[in-house]
Amino acid sequence: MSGAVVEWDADRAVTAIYSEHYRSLVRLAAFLVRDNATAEEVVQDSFVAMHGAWRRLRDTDKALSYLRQSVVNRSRSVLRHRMVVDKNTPKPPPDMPSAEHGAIIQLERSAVVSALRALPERQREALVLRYYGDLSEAQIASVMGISRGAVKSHTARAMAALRIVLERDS
Amino acid sequence: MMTQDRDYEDALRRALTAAAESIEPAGDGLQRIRHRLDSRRSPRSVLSGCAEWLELHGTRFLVRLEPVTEAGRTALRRTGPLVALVSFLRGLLGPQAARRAGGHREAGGSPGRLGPAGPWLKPVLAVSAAVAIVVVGVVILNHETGTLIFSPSNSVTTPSSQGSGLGSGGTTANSKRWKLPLGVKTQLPSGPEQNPRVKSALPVVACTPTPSPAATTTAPAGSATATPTPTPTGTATSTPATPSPTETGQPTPTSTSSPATGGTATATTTTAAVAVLSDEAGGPIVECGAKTPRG
Repeated sequence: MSGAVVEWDADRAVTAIYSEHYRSLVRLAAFLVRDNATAEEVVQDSFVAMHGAWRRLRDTDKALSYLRQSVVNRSRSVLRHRMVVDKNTPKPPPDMPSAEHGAIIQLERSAVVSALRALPERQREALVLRYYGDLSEAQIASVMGISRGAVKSHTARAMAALRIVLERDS
Repeated sequence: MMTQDRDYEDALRRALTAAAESIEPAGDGLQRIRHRLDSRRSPRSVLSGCAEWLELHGTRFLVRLEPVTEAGRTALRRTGPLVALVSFLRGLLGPQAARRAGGHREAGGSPGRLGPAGPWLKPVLAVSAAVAIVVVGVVILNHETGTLIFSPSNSVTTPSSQGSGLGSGGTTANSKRWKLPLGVKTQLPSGPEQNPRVKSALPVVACTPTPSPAATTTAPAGSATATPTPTPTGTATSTPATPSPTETGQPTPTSTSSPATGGTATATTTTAAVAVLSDEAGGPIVECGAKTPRG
């Protein structure tokens, strides 16, 4: 298959997958990075990466799996970067909300989401992929790059922690 | 307990779905993706991609070559360099290398084909050949530019120091200069009748005849005037030659000098064939051709 044909296919695949899955991917990323604008950037970067890797993928299902994995990995990178930035920048005064405060507020309307936010990163990923993405354990394991046993473990611990937080709040 | 878990799971699913409903991505996502893709295809990105590719595949190639180089090193230790080189090349190109590198190819493969590094060896050999050609070219060019030539302003320049390259015949302000010996003036080549050992485009050096300091020459109705140039062995003091082009466009330098002996002459000269060569030691040799009076 020549490069031009592959590129044309990749362009068509980007358009097709965008129209079908872009919104859900942005929402998934928003749960992970807790910021809509960053979530959109993460998903767009993932689409660009998928376009570059289309020669390898050549299949919409594989591409979607690749996109999910890319979104999760990039979200992790964002959180890691954010952690470093937060550590090194001075804290703003309490009456000065940060730039992403408004976006976070949007997501924290629900107590469940707020409890979800308190979970460790991997547990949150497992829960979001399981209960928002409706992925199977095997798919979650593939996306997160861990074993199925680890997925079960993360999910169980996350559910237990969530239950404690929700019961305490109620 | 199971029912309670299921309730929590359902609550969590509903809550996540409800929260997700409130997240609405901007409508220009596809445009942004396309813009990023376009910027990714820029030449700079292509170059960086090529650099990454070369780095990655170069490393892989070196890793693949490792058994062969190891065998060469061992052979070098055991035997002399020549035998080691032959052994290395045999290992690189022969079927043994394939077996040594992990048996990518059958032992009885066609003898003319390259070893396991075949797909990589061809481009590497091509690049090596290209580099060798460039190096030889540079060496030849250096050899050529090592020939000293004399600029019209009574100075010596190298072609590489001239801004317009070979054939310009002129000098630049930044050209490296040396003082010419007395009695030597410069002239551009006038045609293919030049010395064949010298490129015709290069400016060459014309030598004036070697008059005695007191010699006088009468010019037969010349258009330009020049005082004779004293020989290098002469005791006369002279000012540097200053070339001036004639109206025909051929740069016929006119040198002026004032011999200490007081002999003044007016002459127009044409240099027929002059050349500058460099000897093996790199020093300039000035060959002087016949000099005939004009008219």
